[in-house]
Amino acid sequence: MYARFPGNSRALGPPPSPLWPFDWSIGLAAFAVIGVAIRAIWFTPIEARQGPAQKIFYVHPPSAFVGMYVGFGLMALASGVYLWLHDDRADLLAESSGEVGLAFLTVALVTGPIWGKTVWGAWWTWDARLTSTLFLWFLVAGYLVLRGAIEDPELRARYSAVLALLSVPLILFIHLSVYFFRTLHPMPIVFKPSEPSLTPEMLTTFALAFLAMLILYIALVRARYRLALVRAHVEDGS
Amino acid sequence: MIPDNAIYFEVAYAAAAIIYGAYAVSIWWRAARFRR
Repeated sequence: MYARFPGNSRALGPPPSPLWPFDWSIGLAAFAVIGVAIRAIWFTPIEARQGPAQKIFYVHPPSAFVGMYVGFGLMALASGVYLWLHDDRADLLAESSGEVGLAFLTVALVTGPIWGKTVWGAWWTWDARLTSTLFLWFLVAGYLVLRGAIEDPELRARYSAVLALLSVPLILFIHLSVYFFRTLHPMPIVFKPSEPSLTPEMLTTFALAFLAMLILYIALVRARYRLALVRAHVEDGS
Repeated sequence: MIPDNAIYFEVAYAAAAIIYGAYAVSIWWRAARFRR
Protein backbone atom coordinates (compact mmCIF):
# COMPACT_ATOMS: atom_id res chain seq x y z
CA MET A 1 0.00 0.00 0.00
CA TYR A 2 1.18 3.50 -0.78
CA ALA A 3 -1.27 5.57 1.25
CA ARG A 4 0.33 8.92 1.89
CA PHE A 5 0.34 10.38 5.35
CA PRO A 6 2.27 13.45 6.52
CA GLY A 7 5.97 12.76 6.15
CA ASN A 8 5.36 9.59 4.16
CA SER A 9 5.82 10.97 0.64
CA ARG A 10 8.79 8.62 0.14
CA ALA A 11 6.18 6.17 -1.16
CA LEU A 12 5.84 8.44 -4.18
CA GLY A 13 9.54 8.22 -4.96
CA PRO A 14 12.10 11.02 -5.00
CA PRO A 15 10.78 14.50 -5.84
CA PRO A 16 11.45 15.47 -9.48
CA SER A 17 13.11 18.76 -10.36
CA PRO A 18 10.52 21.53 -10.32
CA LEU A 19 12.59 23.66 -12.68
CA TRP A 20 11.59 22.01 -15.95
CA PRO A 21 8.64 19.58 -15.83
CA PHE A 22 8.89 18.53 -19.51
CA ASP A 23 11.04 15.81 -21.04
CA TRP A 24 11.92 14.65 -24.55
CA SER A 25 8.31 13.63 -25.23
CA ILE A 26 7.16 17.27 -25.50
CA GLY A 27 9.65 17.79 -28.34
CA LEU A 28 8.34 14.69 -30.10
CA ALA A 29 4.76 15.92 -29.58
CA ALA A 30 5.56 19.38 -31.01
CA PHE A 31 7.24 17.78 -34.02
CA ALA A 32 4.27 15.45 -34.60
CA VAL A 33 1.59 18.13 -34.20
CA ILE A 34 3.37 20.68 -36.41
CA GLY A 35 4.09 17.99 -39.03
CA VAL A 36 0.45 16.91 -39.13
CA ALA A 37 -0.72 20.54 -39.36
CA ILE A 38 1.57 21.10 -42.37
CA ARG A 39 0.27 17.92 -44.01
CA ALA A 40 -3.36 18.84 -43.28
CA ILE A 41 -3.05 22.41 -44.56
CA TRP A 42 -0.92 21.96 -47.67
CA PHE A 43 -0.83 18.27 -48.60
CA THR A 44 -4.37 17.00 -47.99
CA PRO A 45 -7.10 17.58 -50.59
CA ILE A 46 -9.92 20.01 -49.93
CA GLU A 47 -13.32 18.42 -49.47
CA ALA A 48 -15.47 19.67 -52.37
CA ARG A 49 -18.79 20.23 -50.55
CA GLN A 50 -17.58 21.73 -47.25
CA GLY A 51 -14.52 23.53 -48.61
CA PRO A 52 -11.31 24.23 -46.67
CA ALA A 53 -13.23 24.48 -43.38
CA GLN A 54 -13.47 20.68 -43.43
CA LYS A 55 -9.80 20.64 -42.39
CA ILE A 56 -11.07 21.35 -38.85
CA PHE A 57 -11.75 17.61 -39.00
CA TYR A 58 -8.04 16.99 -38.33
CA VAL A 59 -8.10 18.80 -34.98
CA HIS A 60 -11.68 18.58 -33.63
CA PRO A 61 -12.42 14.81 -33.50
CA PRO A 62 -8.87 13.78 -32.42
CA SER A 63 -8.95 16.35 -29.60
CA ALA A 64 -12.42 15.25 -28.51
CA PHE A 65 -11.59 11.55 -28.69
CA VAL A 66 -8.26 11.79 -26.87
CA GLY A 67 -9.62 14.20 -24.24
CA MET A 68 -12.83 12.35 -23.52
CA TYR A 69 -12.08 8.66 -24.00
CA VAL A 70 -8.35 8.56 -23.22
CA GLY A 71 -8.01 11.49 -20.80
CA PHE A 72 -11.18 11.10 -18.79
CA GLY A 73 -11.14 7.32 -19.22
CA LEU A 74 -7.72 7.14 -17.58
CA MET A 75 -8.86 9.62 -14.93
CA ALA A 76 -11.78 7.35 -14.03
CA LEU A 77 -9.66 4.19 -14.19
CA ALA A 78 -6.93 5.65 -11.96
CA SER A 79 -9.59 6.92 -9.55
CA GLY A 80 -11.01 3.41 -9.30
CA VAL A 81 -7.51 2.07 -8.65
CA TYR A 82 -7.03 4.69 -5.92
CA LEU A 83 -10.29 3.73 -4.18
CA TRP A 84 -9.27 0.08 -4.35
CA LEU A 85 -5.57 0.23 -3.43
CA HIS A 86 -5.21 3.70 -1.82
CA ASP A 87 -2.11 4.23 -3.93
CA ASP A 88 -1.37 7.96 -4.08
CA ARG A 89 0.30 7.61 -7.44
CA ALA A 90 -3.07 6.60 -8.91
CA ASP A 91 -4.64 9.73 -7.41
CA LEU A 92 -1.95 11.96 -8.92
CA LEU A 93 -2.32 10.22 -12.29
CA ALA A 94 -6.09 10.75 -12.20
CA GLU A 95 -5.59 14.45 -11.47
CA SER A 96 -3.03 14.79 -14.27
CA SER A 97 -5.05 12.92 -16.85
CA GLY A 98 -8.25 14.79 -15.94
CA GLU A 99 -6.63 18.20 -16.27
CA VAL A 100 -4.92 17.38 -19.59
CA GLY A 101 -8.15 15.81 -20.86
CA LEU A 102 -9.98 19.01 -19.99
CA ALA A 103 -7.54 21.01 -22.15
CA PHE A 104 -8.25 18.62 -25.04
CA LEU A 105 -12.00 18.83 -24.54
CA THR A 106 -11.73 22.64 -24.43
CA VAL A 107 -10.11 22.55 -27.87
CA ALA A 108 -12.91 20.28 -29.10
CA LEU A 109 -15.58 22.63 -27.68
CA VAL A 110 -13.92 25.67 -29.26
CA THR A 111 -13.21 24.20 -32.70
CA GLY A 112 -16.55 22.38 -32.96
CA PRO A 113 -18.69 25.54 -33.10
CA ILE A 114 -16.33 27.09 -35.67
CA TRP A 115 -16.88 24.04 -37.87
CA GLY A 116 -20.60 24.01 -37.06
CA LYS A 117 -20.99 27.60 -38.25
CA THR A 118 -19.78 26.64 -41.72
CA VAL A 119 -21.72 23.37 -42.00
CA TRP A 120 -24.91 24.00 -39.98
CA GLY A 121 -25.01 27.79 -40.21
CA ALA A 122 -25.07 28.00 -36.40
CA TRP A 123 -22.30 28.22 -33.80
CA TRP A 124 -24.12 26.05 -31.28
CA THR A 125 -27.24 23.96 -30.88
CA TRP A 126 -28.55 22.50 -27.64
CA ASP A 127 -28.81 18.97 -28.93
CA ALA A 128 -27.95 15.83 -26.95
CA ARG A 129 -24.32 15.42 -28.11
CA LEU A 130 -23.23 19.03 -27.69
CA THR A 131 -25.11 19.68 -24.45
CA SER A 132 -23.94 16.50 -22.72
CA THR A 133 -20.34 17.19 -23.81
CA LEU A 134 -20.60 20.65 -22.25
CA PHE A 135 -21.93 19.03 -19.06
CA LEU A 136 -18.91 16.70 -19.04
CA TRP A 137 -16.61 19.72 -19.37
CA PHE A 138 -18.26 21.30 -16.31
CA LEU A 139 -18.14 18.02 -14.38
CA VAL A 140 -14.37 17.65 -14.87
CA ALA A 141 -13.84 21.37 -14.23
CA GLY A 142 -15.75 20.82 -10.96
CA TYR A 143 -13.51 17.83 -10.22
CA LEU A 144 -10.43 20.07 -10.49
CA VAL A 145 -12.05 22.83 -8.43
CA LEU A 146 -12.93 20.26 -5.75
CA ARG A 147 -9.31 19.10 -5.67
CA GLY A 148 -8.16 22.68 -5.21
CA ALA A 149 -10.63 23.28 -2.40
CA ILE A 150 -9.74 20.35 -0.11
CA GLU A 151 -6.46 20.65 1.78
CA ASP A 152 -6.33 17.19 3.33
CA PRO A 153 -4.68 14.90 0.72
CA GLU A 154 -6.59 11.78 1.74
CA LEU A 155 -10.01 13.43 1.73
CA ARG A 156 -9.20 15.20 -1.52
CA ALA A 157 -8.20 11.94 -3.21
CA ARG A 158 -11.25 10.03 -1.98
CA TYR A 159 -13.91 12.64 -2.77
CA SER A 160 -12.49 13.51 -6.17
CA ALA A 161 -12.12 9.82 -7.10
CA VAL A 162 -15.85 9.32 -6.54
CA LEU A 163 -16.63 12.39 -8.66
CA ALA A 164 -14.30 11.16 -11.40
CA LEU A 165 -16.10 7.82 -11.55
CA LEU A 166 -19.37 9.68 -12.11
CA SER A 167 -18.01 10.86 -15.46
CA VAL A 168 -18.09 7.29 -16.84
CA PRO A 169 -21.87 7.06 -17.47
CA LEU A 170 -21.80 10.55 -18.98
CA ILE A 171 -19.00 9.55 -21.39
CA LEU A 172 -21.03 6.49 -22.44
CA PHE A 173 -24.12 8.67 -22.88
CA ILE A 174 -22.17 11.14 -25.06
CA HIS A 175 -20.85 8.30 -27.19
CA LEU A 176 -24.30 6.83 -27.76
CA SER A 177 -26.19 10.15 -28.01
CA VAL A 178 -25.84 10.36 -31.81
CA TYR A 179 -27.55 6.97 -32.12
CA PHE A 180 -30.34 7.52 -29.58
CA PHE A 181 -31.34 11.10 -30.34
CA ARG A 182 -31.92 13.27 -33.38
CA THR A 183 -28.90 15.50 -33.39
CA LEU A 184 -27.12 17.82 -35.81
CA HIS A 185 -23.80 16.27 -34.81
CA PRO A 186 -22.87 13.63 -37.40
CA MET A 187 -22.38 9.96 -36.61
CA PRO A 188 -18.81 8.61 -36.74
CA ILE A 189 -17.39 8.53 -40.26
CA VAL A 190 -14.14 6.75 -39.35
CA PHE A 191 -14.72 4.67 -36.20
CA LYS A 192 -17.71 2.67 -37.49
CA PRO A 193 -18.33 -0.93 -38.56
CA SER A 194 -18.37 -0.15 -42.31
CA GLU A 195 -15.62 1.45 -44.42
CA PRO A 196 -14.56 4.98 -43.40
CA SER A 197 -16.26 7.68 -45.52
CA LEU A 198 -12.99 9.39 -46.47
CA THR A 199 -10.48 9.39 -49.31
CA PRO A 200 -7.22 7.55 -48.52
CA GLU A 201 -5.27 10.85 -48.24
CA MET A 202 -7.78 12.27 -45.78
CA LEU A 203 -7.87 9.05 -43.81
CA THR A 204 -4.06 8.99 -43.55
CA THR A 205 -3.96 12.61 -42.36
CA PHE A 206 -6.69 11.86 -39.83
CA ALA A 207 -4.83 8.81 -38.51
CA LEU A 208 -1.62 10.84 -38.19
CA ALA A 209 -3.52 13.67 -36.46
CA PHE A 210 -4.99 11.17 -34.02
CA LEU A 211 -1.52 9.76 -33.31
CA ALA A 212 -0.03 13.26 -32.89
CA MET A 213 -2.76 14.20 -30.39
CA LEU A 214 -2.13 10.99 -28.49
CA ILE A 215 1.61 11.79 -28.28
CA LEU A 216 0.78 15.34 -27.14
CA TYR A 217 -1.56 13.96 -24.47
CA ILE A 218 1.13 11.57 -23.18
CA ALA A 219 3.77 14.34 -23.11
CA LEU A 220 1.46 16.71 -21.21
CA VAL A 221 0.35 14.03 -18.72
CA ARG A 222 4.00 13.15 -18.01
CA ALA A 223 4.77 16.82 -17.31
CA ARG A 224 1.60 17.35 -15.29
CA TYR A 225 2.29 14.20 -13.24
CA ARG A 226 5.75 15.54 -12.35
CA LEU A 227 4.14 18.79 -11.23
CA ALA A 228 1.68 16.82 -9.07
CA LEU A 229 4.58 14.87 -7.55
CA VAL A 230 6.44 18.08 -6.67
CA ARG A 231 3.30 19.46 -5.05
CA ALA A 232 2.78 16.26 -3.05
CA HIS A 233 6.33 16.47 -1.70
CA VAL A 234 5.87 20.16 -0.86
CA GLU A 235 2.61 19.38 0.97
CA ASP A 236 4.40 16.73 3.01
CA GLY A 237 7.26 19.10 3.73
CA SER A 238 9.84 16.67 2.34
CA MET B 1 -18.00 25.22 -56.65
CA ILE B 2 -15.83 24.89 -53.54
CA PRO B 3 -16.87 27.38 -50.81
CA ASP B 4 -14.28 29.98 -49.82
CA ASN B 5 -14.19 29.44 -46.05
CA ALA B 6 -10.51 28.85 -45.26
CA ILE B 7 -10.64 31.50 -42.51
CA TYR B 8 -12.71 29.13 -40.36
CA PHE B 9 -10.10 26.36 -40.26
CA GLU B 10 -7.32 28.93 -39.86
CA VAL B 11 -9.07 30.37 -36.80
CA ALA B 12 -9.75 26.86 -35.44
CA TYR B 13 -6.09 25.82 -35.84
CA ALA B 14 -4.91 29.06 -34.24
CA ALA B 15 -7.32 28.59 -31.31
CA ALA B 16 -6.12 25.01 -30.79
CA ALA B 17 -2.47 26.13 -30.87
CA ILE B 18 -3.17 28.90 -28.34
CA ILE B 19 -5.05 26.58 -25.94
CA TYR B 20 -2.46 23.78 -26.05
CA GLY B 21 0.42 26.26 -25.87
CA ALA B 22 -1.12 28.18 -22.97
CA TYR B 23 -1.78 24.95 -21.10
CA ALA B 24 1.84 23.78 -21.54
CA VAL B 25 3.06 27.19 -20.32
CA SER B 26 0.73 26.93 -17.30
CA ILE B 27 2.39 23.63 -16.32
CA TRP B 28 5.84 25.21 -16.62
CA TRP B 29 4.70 28.30 -14.67
CA ARG B 30 3.21 26.28 -11.80
CA ALA B 31 6.37 24.15 -11.60
CA ALA B 32 8.50 27.32 -11.54
CA ARG B 33 6.38 28.65 -8.67
CA PHE B 34 7.48 25.71 -6.51
CA ARG B 35 11.10 26.68 -7.15
CA ARG B 36 10.39 30.02 -5.49
